[in-house]
Amino acid sequence: MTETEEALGFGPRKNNGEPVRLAMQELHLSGKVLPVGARLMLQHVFVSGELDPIEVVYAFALPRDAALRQFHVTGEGFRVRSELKPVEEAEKAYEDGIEAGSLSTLAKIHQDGVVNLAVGNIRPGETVAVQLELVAGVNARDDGYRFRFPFALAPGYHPKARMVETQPGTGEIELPEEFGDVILPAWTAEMEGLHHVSFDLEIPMMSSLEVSSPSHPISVRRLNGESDRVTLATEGDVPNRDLVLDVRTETSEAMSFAGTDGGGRTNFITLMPSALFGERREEPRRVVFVIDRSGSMDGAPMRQALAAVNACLGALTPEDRFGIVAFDDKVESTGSSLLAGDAKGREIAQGFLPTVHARGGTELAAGIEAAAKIIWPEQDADILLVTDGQVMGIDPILFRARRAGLRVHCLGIGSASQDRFLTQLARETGGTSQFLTPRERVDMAAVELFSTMGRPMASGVAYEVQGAEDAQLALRPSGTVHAGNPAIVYGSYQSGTTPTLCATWNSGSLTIPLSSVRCDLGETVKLVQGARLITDADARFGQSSSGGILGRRMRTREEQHLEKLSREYGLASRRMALVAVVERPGDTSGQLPATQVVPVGMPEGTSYGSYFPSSVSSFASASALRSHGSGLFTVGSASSVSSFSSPHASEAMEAFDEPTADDRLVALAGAIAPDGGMPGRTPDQRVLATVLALTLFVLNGHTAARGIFAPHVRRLLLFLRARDSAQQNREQTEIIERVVDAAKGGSALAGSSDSILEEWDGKSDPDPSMWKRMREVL
Amino acid sequence: MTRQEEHEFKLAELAERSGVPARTIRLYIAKGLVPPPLRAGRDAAYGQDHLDALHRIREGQRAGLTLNRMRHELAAEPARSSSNLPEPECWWDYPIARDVRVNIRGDASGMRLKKIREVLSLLHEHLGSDDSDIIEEPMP
Repeated sequence: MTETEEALGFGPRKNNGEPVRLAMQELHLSGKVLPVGARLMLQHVFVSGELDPIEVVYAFALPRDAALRQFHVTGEGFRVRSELKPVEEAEKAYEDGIEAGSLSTLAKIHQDGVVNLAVGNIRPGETVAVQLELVAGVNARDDGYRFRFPFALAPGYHPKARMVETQPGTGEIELPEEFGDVILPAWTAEMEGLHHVSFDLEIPMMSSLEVSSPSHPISVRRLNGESDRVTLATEGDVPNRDLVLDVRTETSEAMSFAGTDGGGRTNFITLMPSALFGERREEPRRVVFVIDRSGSMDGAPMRQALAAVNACLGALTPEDRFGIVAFDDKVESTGSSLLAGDAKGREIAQGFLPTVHARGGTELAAGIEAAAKIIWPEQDADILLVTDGQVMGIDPILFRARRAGLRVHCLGIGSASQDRFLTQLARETGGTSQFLTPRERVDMAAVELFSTMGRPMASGVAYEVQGAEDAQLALRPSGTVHAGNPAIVYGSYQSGTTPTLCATWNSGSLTIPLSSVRCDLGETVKLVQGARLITDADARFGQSSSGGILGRRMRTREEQHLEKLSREYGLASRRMALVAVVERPGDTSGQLPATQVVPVGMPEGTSYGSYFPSSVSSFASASALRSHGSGLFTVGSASSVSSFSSPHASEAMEAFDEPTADDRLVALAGAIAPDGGMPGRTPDQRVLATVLALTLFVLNGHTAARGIFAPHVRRLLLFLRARDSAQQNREQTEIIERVVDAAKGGSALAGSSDSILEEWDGKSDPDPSMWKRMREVL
Repeated sequence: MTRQEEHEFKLAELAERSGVPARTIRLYIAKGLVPPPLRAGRDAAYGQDHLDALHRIREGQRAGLTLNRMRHELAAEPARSSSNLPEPECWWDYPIARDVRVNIRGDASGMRLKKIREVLSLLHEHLGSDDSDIIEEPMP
């Protein structure tokens, strides 16, 4: 082991223990994660084992609502900070530095949020570290937030891109000219020899109750009662999946974060849980399920997506109208118009779903446009999009989705983040988005998302800051509040004694005091605001397809706007890049450094063969399986160290071996008939099956008002209320009333699901002896 | 400036003339799609061959060829990439054995020269000579 490697602590190793000669050896993420965003530092360590100067290019994806702030380049005898310059100037400074033989570093953001970090003229044997500071958003929920950081870069589909296997087990994507000079990595089927990743994050205790990760084994250590420190529980990990942290909070109150910036203005971000906006209205819905059936969805994601849609169908009422679209590079659907949520419509859907198989590319915009055609001429409708989002060239997709005029609710699946894209897609169209890892259940999340669609907690919400001078809202907040998703308002004011944020809508109002908030976060709040503004502006940059003078003018305006935002907030964008040139003694001008592009591994759960057809695809799958491990993360039980795992993690891994409780509930939900009852040959059997299903939902924590299967519970209750009660005897009626009372939130049931499931599989007609079993259960 | 140098240019100029960013050109060189510079070290320079190679790549891409395929095609015709290089000012003469001599361009790049010397060492080892310094002292 060399001295350099010893100093780093570890390095990539081959099977025989020898170190791999790799330019980038380590990627370490640190920083602080708040409920409104994260301040992060990403350290890249480059070590050259070559005999001539090298230039290393590392490509990575930006997280959601993220922007680069600055970087420091550190080496022997120097530490230099980057400058923010217009892209052309930054590139020229970088190239001049390369020509002069100096150590040059450039961080440039390309289309789709792909960043190329290039470090040129690293000398033989030299170690260079680049500490890149960035700001990122989080996915806020009423009960907590999810932080996701892309340690992996997923390949993506584009109709003009070409997938090439350059050597066995290594594939590259060649993009068309319109993508400019972005450099993509080579994807390898095997993780052996790639750089190591690790993290050390701080989560302030102001709101957190519990931290868990469905992606990585973590250690959580409480620091002075003020924050949790979350680290990787192992020495290092392979870069084949994103880091995902779930922070659960307990508060049901609004939270504000604020502070003054350098100019004396107070910036604030306020989160208002959706529950503060009252009750949801049960109104008929118009929904189209849009299912990505591209090749990269093959396997568990596809199966779970179909089960999810089937379960959602169970919550439809006959008054609802719906359609299903499946897309790859072709689009198929249940018909040219919406179907009623009645028996006939459900029958068509049940016949369509089994025909959906993973194959082909990802023509996402075509899928959304097909949904719009089905809905036309009506417009007030929602799309539930289930996708891995592995596409490239998102600007035109966002443009076409906005033009379709429908709210797109995105349910992302995958281990490598397209979270940024799906967040933009949902926000641009007025929907919501959630991104899962392959270790989590898609079907449960889909049912949950579906229950909130088309039935907002409040619409037409207007916000205003009162009691403050020169108050402004930094971003136009969404006027719709969806269940489970807090309203988020960004703003600032010059001064005020009792500033308040007022929200008003047609059936209510809220007043949130802004004075009793954490006030030491001025810079962070401003940077988070800036990153959101730049992400939104980026999403519109280049979306316009119009040419000619008008198109050029529009583009110039977009460029100027983006540049202005970058300068105002000190953050990089597609118009402004970060550059640093370090002049070292002995620099030799005019030398050509040999360029290396840092390879990346195929994301966990994405088969190598789905992008790069070759003989090694089976080998890649085996590798992916190995890296899955047990799927349940635990670490040592030292008193100061606690460990958590996702409650669904192990279940998802086992989902297709032994049915779990959630599997059974999803199946029951999908079997609910249009009249709200369970199927059966006779009316008596239908009533009994419905009582059994209702009991299983209630015993698993789902009632008419609580749990993700609440809509299904309400449908079952409706059926029981409408039944011919004269057909049941006194004892049966008592059982029904007991279960109905519990499902409405009354006294809880004390039995166990297992004793019912021993006698009834949830599918076939239940035996009348089950009434007796029910009495025992209750 | 010699006549030869009049037809040479730096990487920035090659990028400007070809419309291909300098960083992309370096990547193409690393991938073997574009020949290495005419000279190694501080005087790295590029010529018409490099410009032609970049035009060919652009045309190939527009015609639907992948870089990988173009690289394989280039590899199949190794002589072409160096045949049009300007005539060097001198050649090095390496006597390998009593009956074998090898001539190397005097302006070969450092990286290229390293590989050549490795091969020459092998040649020398296999063809045999009692003079161990023979590789170290080429005659211009």
